[in-house]
Amino acid sequence: MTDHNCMESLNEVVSKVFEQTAFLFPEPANLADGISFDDLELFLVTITFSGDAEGDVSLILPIEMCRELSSNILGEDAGETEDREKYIDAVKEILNIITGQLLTKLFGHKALFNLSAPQIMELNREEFFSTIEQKDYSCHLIEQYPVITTLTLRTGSYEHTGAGSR
Amino acid sequence: MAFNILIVDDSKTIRSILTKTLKMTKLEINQIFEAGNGKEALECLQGNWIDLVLTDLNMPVMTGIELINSMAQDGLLKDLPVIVISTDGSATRIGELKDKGVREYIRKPFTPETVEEIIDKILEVTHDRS
Repeated sequence: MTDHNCMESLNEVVSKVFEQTAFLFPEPANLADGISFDDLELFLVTITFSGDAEGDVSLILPIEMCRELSSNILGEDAGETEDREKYIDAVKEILNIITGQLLTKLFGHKALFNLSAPQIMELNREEFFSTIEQKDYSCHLIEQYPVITTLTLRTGSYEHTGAGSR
Repeated sequence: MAFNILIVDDSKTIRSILTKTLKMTKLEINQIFEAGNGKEALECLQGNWIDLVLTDLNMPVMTGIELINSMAQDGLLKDLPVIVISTDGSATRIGELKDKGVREYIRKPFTPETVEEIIDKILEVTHDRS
């Protein structure tokens, strides 16, 4: 299991990055409160990291949120024409920034990491529940859309020094 | 003097944001070139006069560090100013990049003001801000 402080740090970084890059304001939410994912087309975006620690950070979010994110980051109105490549590129970049900021917050400025390119896949309902059952996650509502964030630190690679964290 | 600037990032989103940011500044810009990785950047540098390179580090095909190393070995490119714009916050990495001749480092997320201030400093541009 991932340290509780790490998940708190992840939540702080997610809020900060969404606010600063896209002027979107995540609100903490609980899946047990009846948030429905049934009618949403969900995407999982993941970055793995290695170096002074190993693990991965993921975002699970609906395509509508990807569109909103892209529009806000680029300062454009959401177009009538679907440009999924553009939406997904924006989400990949957001996750890239989240991961970079999180690693500095958890491990300090001296730690060195190599980040993978973001990997993306569509999730059906079964895959969604299977994914969140296996990982520590937090849930936010951004606008009206649910956004799940997960963090995995591999056993044996993690030595939490508290550097950079609260 | 109008400048030619090369933006190197595998993310179209970031290239688009930086292009918009540059156009919003008071900098006189002749042309903005874009490349999706270090290899494309080198091809662009061989065929065009560029005054400043803004590059990411983590990119497929050829990374930003590989691009910087290649430029350092090229007599015509070794003195071309390079600004790295990356998510990497490691002081160790930033120190290594400065040792390789990188002039400045901007961490994502960035503000347009930060980008403008640093580019002005590197290109030694002064604006009348009154």
